[in-house]
Formats: sequence, structure tokens, C-alpha cells
Amino acid sequence: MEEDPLLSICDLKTYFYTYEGVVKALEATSFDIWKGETFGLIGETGCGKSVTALSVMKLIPQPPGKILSGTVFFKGEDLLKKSEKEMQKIRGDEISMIFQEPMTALNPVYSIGHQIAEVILLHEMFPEISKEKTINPWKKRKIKKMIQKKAFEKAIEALDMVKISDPKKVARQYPHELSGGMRQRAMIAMMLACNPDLLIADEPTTALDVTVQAQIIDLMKELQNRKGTAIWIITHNLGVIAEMCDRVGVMYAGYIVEIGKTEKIFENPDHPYTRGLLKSIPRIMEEQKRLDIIPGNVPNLIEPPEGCRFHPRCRYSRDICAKCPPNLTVVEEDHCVACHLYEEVKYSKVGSKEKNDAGASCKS
Amino acid sequence: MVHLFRRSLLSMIGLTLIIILLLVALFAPFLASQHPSYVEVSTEQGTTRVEERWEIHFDQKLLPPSADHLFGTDDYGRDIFSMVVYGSQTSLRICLLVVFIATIIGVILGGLAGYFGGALDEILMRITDVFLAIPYLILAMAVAAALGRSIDHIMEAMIITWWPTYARLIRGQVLAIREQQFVEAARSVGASNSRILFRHILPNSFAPLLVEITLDLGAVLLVAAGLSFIGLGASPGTAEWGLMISEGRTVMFHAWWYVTFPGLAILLVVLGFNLLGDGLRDVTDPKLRR
Amino acid sequence: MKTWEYIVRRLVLLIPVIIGVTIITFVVSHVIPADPARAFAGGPKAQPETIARIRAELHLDKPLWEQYFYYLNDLIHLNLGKSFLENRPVTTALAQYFPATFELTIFTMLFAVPLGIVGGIISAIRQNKLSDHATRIIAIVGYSLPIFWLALMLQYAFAYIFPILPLEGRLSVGMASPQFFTGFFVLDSIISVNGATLVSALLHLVLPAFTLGFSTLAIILRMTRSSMLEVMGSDYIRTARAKGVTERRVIYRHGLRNALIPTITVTGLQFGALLSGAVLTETIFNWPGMGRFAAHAVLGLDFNSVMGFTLIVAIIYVIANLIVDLLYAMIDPRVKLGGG
Repeated sequence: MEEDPLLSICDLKTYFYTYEGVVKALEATSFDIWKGETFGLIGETGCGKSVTALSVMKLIPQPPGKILSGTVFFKGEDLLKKSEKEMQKIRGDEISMIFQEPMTALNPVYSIGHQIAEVILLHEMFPEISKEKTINPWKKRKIKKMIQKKAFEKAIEALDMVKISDPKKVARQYPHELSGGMRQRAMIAMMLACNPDLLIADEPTTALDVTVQAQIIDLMKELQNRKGTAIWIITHNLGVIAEMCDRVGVMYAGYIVEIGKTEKIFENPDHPYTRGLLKSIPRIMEEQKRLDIIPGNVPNLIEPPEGCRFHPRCRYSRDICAKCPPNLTVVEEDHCVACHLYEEVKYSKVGSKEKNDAGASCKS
Repeated sequence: MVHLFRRSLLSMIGLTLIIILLLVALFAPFLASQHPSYVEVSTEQGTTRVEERWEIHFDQKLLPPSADHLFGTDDYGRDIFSMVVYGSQTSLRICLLVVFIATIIGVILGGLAGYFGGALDEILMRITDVFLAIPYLILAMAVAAALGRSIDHIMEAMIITWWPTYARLIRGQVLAIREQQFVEAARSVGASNSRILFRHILPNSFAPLLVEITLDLGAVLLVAAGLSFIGLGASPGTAEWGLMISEGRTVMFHAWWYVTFPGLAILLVVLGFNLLGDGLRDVTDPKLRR
Repeated sequence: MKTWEYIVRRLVLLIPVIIGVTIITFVVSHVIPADPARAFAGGPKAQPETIARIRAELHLDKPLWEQYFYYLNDLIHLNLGKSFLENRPVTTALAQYFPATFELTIFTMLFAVPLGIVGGIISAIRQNKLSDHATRIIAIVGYSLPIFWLALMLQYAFAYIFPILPLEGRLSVGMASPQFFTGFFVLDSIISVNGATLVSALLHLVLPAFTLGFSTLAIILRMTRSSMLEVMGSDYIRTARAKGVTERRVIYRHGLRNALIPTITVTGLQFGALLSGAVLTETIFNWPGMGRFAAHAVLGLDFNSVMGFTLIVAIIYVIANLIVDLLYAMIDPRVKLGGG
């Protein structure tokens, strides 16, 4: 039995028009995220993971960036067709995003509590208080003050939810007074305060110490269990993927090259790039003379390679790889690869979740 | 990096204006229709100094701009265009000398203070505090008034006024760079202090210094013109832009050209330095990249 | 560190700087080739006995360092010497001229600050569009202009082209000043309900305030613009948008609140600089303020006045710096007084 995915991205194309040329960041990115699942997007720096997330949120700076085509269906509606005002209602309320550097991501001149209360005030209605309609300006002010107070209390509750000790005190503090881990918790509190359906986490632990990383990951897992939020985590750290994600997508130079259930990808990586990634992790238990690397460099997205963007670095590349970008093909249940090597091998298991990703659908 | 600069229209305009200034100053004798003569005059202290003298044509006084006299004539019949052209030499000389010498003094003192720190640094900071506590024009005015009216004296006054700015700038740069790892690396392989200072630290301080110098060339010109305007700088009869404006002020209401054109010259030159300095800053300051 | 402790500490640190300034003014005033005693005695026609007497009075016969201590002693007793041009104590003259300069400064800031900030915001938001380029060009011309030239051009324009504004002075010729309460003509006119002087005072403020304001505006605009550009590119702006904050609120509540911090600094310093007396502008508009006083003193070789003026200006500047630092600490929660 299939349900519709919560988020369905199809053939998303985002370019950046810069002085040096047109950066073709995303060409035809497609994947789905289901309700309540944890989806990981992994790839090297510059491969387009953040651009995808920002495109979904429509937070791409319009000059120089532009979302050229594609569809992003969220709860049945195409986000790309929505106006800015409509997006503002969705951001923070239905889809939230947390960023990599918690220090610079929080406004230094407002207290933590104020910033969390802000998102609550934007999206919550507080019907019990505001149902009193009045023209009296003093009364209006009083109502406003009551709402603000209520929002601040909710902010303190949010801080408590992310396991910050003494949330009342922290709410009155400023970002520079908190440690990195606490700031990231505050960010999570802020972005989960309105119970969004999807939380996008762009490299949430990269800037933190390893021990703090583990705490944040545990926190996110617990919150997900409690609230049923879907989490889309973006990282270049395979360890985080292994710990947290139900499904993972591997991204290279603006394309999804492999996607599927985490265990399947880790056990049977099919795309040459994924193989390279997994092989290059040093293993404690084995003796290694040299670390395996993927030869070559990440391509320049202003003049990306023709055809499959990985083909210049791929030892299996053939003529067709230089001419034609491969589509996602199902190789087993819950596992798809975009590589010409596998096109002959097709599985047509009905009911496989990946049927939606693979093959023809994205031509419309 | 150079191409970024070229792309900025305003920076190119600035560069063009400065090039025009340099060309005008260089080719003044060819551009002007009248030329000054230079006379040695003895001063009260018994020394001699060189004064500029212009020929007087009373029959041509206060003529409006025309083909013969592009900028008109003044109340002594002198061609204002020629005076503006030769004034460019004076202005250029003042700006370059003042900034050059102030920079050298400032860089040496600031560099040593920043590098060696300690008591030397403290003393320098206090001294620059004192100088920087007084606005540029006021300080230059006070010193120039004390020394007496002449262009050399206002240059000395301005050098005294400006060197603390450079000392502070270089000191700040040296302090920041001194702690960076490549300096530690150099030290660990046995580089001597002077080598570190000159080969590593100073070259990296170059960029903000260049920006400051360019912008100050304009600022110095404004102050110098202001001082001449009040009557502290050039002696009467010299073709100096600020002085010309002050002399033109008395006849402004029936001879607008005497005030307008020298002022326009100052404006264009300072504009050029400012645009150029801004362009350099945009190119060298990584924070301002788009 | 508590606020009062900080203020006291800064005021104490002020003292070495002021002493340094007094040394400078002292040294400068003794470099002069002219003989101040002779000047006080009345110039070339002075009698030798008078000169000798004045020399003794001014301690000019004593060694230099002793003179310096007499000088310091005078300063502590708030005695800045006598201005021989105006034939009265320097302190009295400065006290009379200060309100005029202060009033001009306030009106200049009233004009320049709002326009500068608004211009900077517009320029930053519409970066690289026409309005950005237009405001930037105006700003850069603004601080490339020689102020005295601008003043003269304005005088010319308003004499011939639109003869509607007065060109000099604080009040129309022959008009008596309003009854003295504060020394600010506008305020005093309002208090004493004197319509004629109010209008006259306001009209006379227009050109000088505009002249000074134009370059101040340029400086503030530039600062606001670059500050806004830097702020609007930061991560917390992206976070605010990700929260669903409306663009207007993002610009003002999140962006401007941060961008104004360095702008306030620049504004405060400008205020200090303007208070020091705009020498050139006041001279041209014949404005009876400290700047014009200084210009006359410098030309007339009235050294007590020049030194006194320089000292006062330094003090004003240093106090302005202190106030700016305090303001900065008040509005930026990251800054702790005393360098915490």
C-alpha cells in the first residue's frame, strides 16, 4: 500500500548567474521524503545539497540564483508556484530549517527567548486571548502584551523540550553567552516550536565537538519519535547517516546518483562514486597500506562534464557516459542507482517504494 | 582581482581623473597660456624662499570665460585656466609629499611599536591618542599658525597631523599578523626579527595601507585648500586652488568664475582619489565581496 | 564592570590625553616667532616698559618648563588667558560662541542623520540598481566637496537664482536676539513666544546646516550602506527568513538593528567633530560660533585664543568618544564595558 510522500521533488533545476559564468548547481534533482522518516542527503561540499534545501524553502537569493524548472510537491501543493507571502506562512510552521553554524545563525542582539517567541508569534494564533475583539487601543495593547507573554512562556517550554537546563535563565540570555551545543539546541527548539511536518537540518553537527555531535543526534532522534516530524538531514559525514537515517540519497555535482534504504546502500553500494566514498573510510580492523581515494576533483559547475557528471573520474566509464546523463534505475527493492552500468539490470518489483523514483515518471 | 577592479565603473572613473591630474600637472607648460616666474625672496628669518609671480594685465581684468580665457580672468587680469593648471602642480606636490613622509614616519613607528610591544607600544599609543584627539583641520591650523604663513609650513603641519593615523594603522596590522601561524613558522626556522618584519609582516599589511593612502591624498588636499583659504598657506599671488577661491570670494557676485573653477578642480581631484580608494578597498577587502 | 565605574575609569584615563594636548598647545604656542608680549602691548608702537611689564606678567622671562607649570596652573583655575583681539578672557568668548555652534550642530544632525540612514538603507536594499548608484554618487560627491566651496556656491545660488534665503549671520540685520534662556535662538524664540526671531533664526540656519550636513550625510550614508550590506548577508538573516519572518521585518527588526551599531559610532564622532566648530563654514556664513572665532584668532595671531580653542576642542572630542563607547555598550549586548 502506498501513500503519497510528504515531499516530492521532481527535476529541480537551479542555476546561479555570476560574474564568472552560470553555475549549474542543480540540473534534474529528484527524490521523495515520506512522513515521519529520516532522510539523509550526502555528498561532498559544493555538490548541491544545501542548494536543494534552499530551493525547496525558496530561500535562494534571487539575484544571482534562479529556480528554473521542476516541481516541489509538499502535502499535495507545488511550493514553486506559491507566492512569497504563502511561503512565509509555511516556513517555520510546516517546514523548518536549521543551519550549520549556530553562532552566526542566531541574531546577536536579541535574547534566545525573544527569537524563539518570534517564530511562535508568527504562526500561532492564541485563540483564547485574541478572540476578544475590541477597538479600544489600551485593551489592544494589553492583549498584545498577554500574547507576547504567552509566546515567551512557550519559548521556555521549547527550550525545556530540547533538554536545556534552567530554560528560564537561558531564555533571557544572548547567543554569545551560550556554548555551541546549547546554541544548536536553541536553534532546534526554535525550529520545532511550531511542530513542523518536515525539519531540514543542513550540516547540524559539523561545527560541533564530537561528543556534542552525539548529543544533538540523540536529541533529534528523540524529538522525532515524540512528534513524528520527518527529518531531512544534509551532511558529508557517513557516520551521522549510519546513525540516523532510514533512507539516504547520494548527491554528486547536482544530481542524485544513488538513493535507497540506508542498510542497502551501505552494504551494496552500486554507484562508483558511492563505492569510492565508502571505501575511503579508514577501517580500524583492517590493515591498510594506503587510503583509497577517488581520483580527480569535483567538477566546476560552470562547465560541468557532458553526460554523466561523474564520468571523468570513473574507472568504468564508457562512450555512453560522456553523452547522456543516466536516469535512476531500480537495482533492488528500496535501492536505485543513476548509472549506465545498471541500466540493463532492471527489477520491476511492484510495491517497491523506489518505483516512484526510478524511470519514467519525471519526464512531465 | 584586477578584473574585479576594472569592472567597477566608478573605480575606473576615479583612475581616469587621477591620470588626468597627473597629465595636467606634467604638461602644464604646454596647456597653459600664461606662465608664472619664480623669484627668490628673502624672509624675515634671513633665509630665502622661492615665490611664484604672475604677470599682471590690468586691461584684461575680470573677463568671463571665453575662447581665449577658458576659465576667465581674475581681478589682476591673470588667466584663471593657466592658474588652475599650474595649481595642479602645487596641489600634487603637497599631497604626495605630506602623505609620503607621514606614511614613512607612521609605518616605522607603528611597525616597531606593534612588533616589539611593551613599553614602546604603550608610549606610542599614548602619543597617538593625544594627536588623534584633535580634529585634523584644527591641529593643522594651530601648528601652521604658529609656524607662519607658507606652503612649506602647512605641509609640515599636516605631516605632524597625519602620521599618527598611519602609525595606528600599521600597528594594528602588525599586531594581527604577528600572531598568525606563518610568522611562528618563520621564527621557528630561525628568521631574525627584522627579516620577519620586513619580509613577512609588512607586505601583508600593504593592502589597507594603500587604501588609506589613496583616500588620504584626497583628504590632505581638502585640508590644504582649506588652510590656504583661511590665509595660512600659500602667499598671495600664488596659483593655489584654495587661495584662489578665497581671493575670488571678494568678487564672487560679479565674477562667479573665479570661485567656481578652482573649486571644481579640487572637487574632481578629491573625487578621483576617493573613487580610486573605494575601488581599491572593494577589491582588497574580502568581506565586501558579493 | 558597572557603568559608573567605567565612566570614572575612562575620565581618569582622559587626563593623560588632555595633559598631552596641553603640552602640544604649549609647545606650539612657544614656537611662534612673534613676541606675544609685544602683541599684547599694542604692536610695533608699544613702549619698552609696557612690554617688559607684560613679559613679567606672562612669566615669559622664566625658563620654559616653569612656564608650562604656570600654564597648567592657569588651566586648573579655568583660566585660558586673555584674547587680545576681543579684549576679554578666552573663556568668556568661548562661552558666548559655543551655543551658536551647538545650535548649528544640532540642526545639521537633524538634517543629515535621518537622510543618511534612510539613504543608506535604500542603497543597500536595492544594491546595484539605479537608486543605489544615484545615492552612492551623491554621497561620494558629498565628502569629496571642499566645504567652503559648497558654501560659496550656495551663497551665490541663493543670491542670484533664488533670492529667498539669507546668506549670513544668525538673524536678520538689525534684529535683536531673543530673550536669553539657553543661548539657542530657536529655543529661546519659542520660549519667549517671539515669532519674528523664530522665523529669522530658522531661515538663517538653513544654508549653513545644509552645507555642513551634506558631507555629514554622505559619511553616515556610506557607513549605513556598507553596514547594512554586511549584515544582510549574514546567517541570522537567513534564519529569520527561514522562520517565515516577513521581508520588511527582516530588514528593519533584524537587519537594521544590527547595522545601526557602527553607524551610531560614526554619528557620535561626527557630532563631536561638528561641535568643534566648523571653521570654514562659519567663516563664510559669518556665523558667530567657535569656528569663526578660531579662524579670526589664527589669522590675527591671537595665540591664547587659538590654544584655548584647541584645548576645548580636544576635550569635546574625547568626551564624544566616551559617550559613543557607552552608547555602543548599551545597544550591543555582546559588548561588556571594560573589555570583558
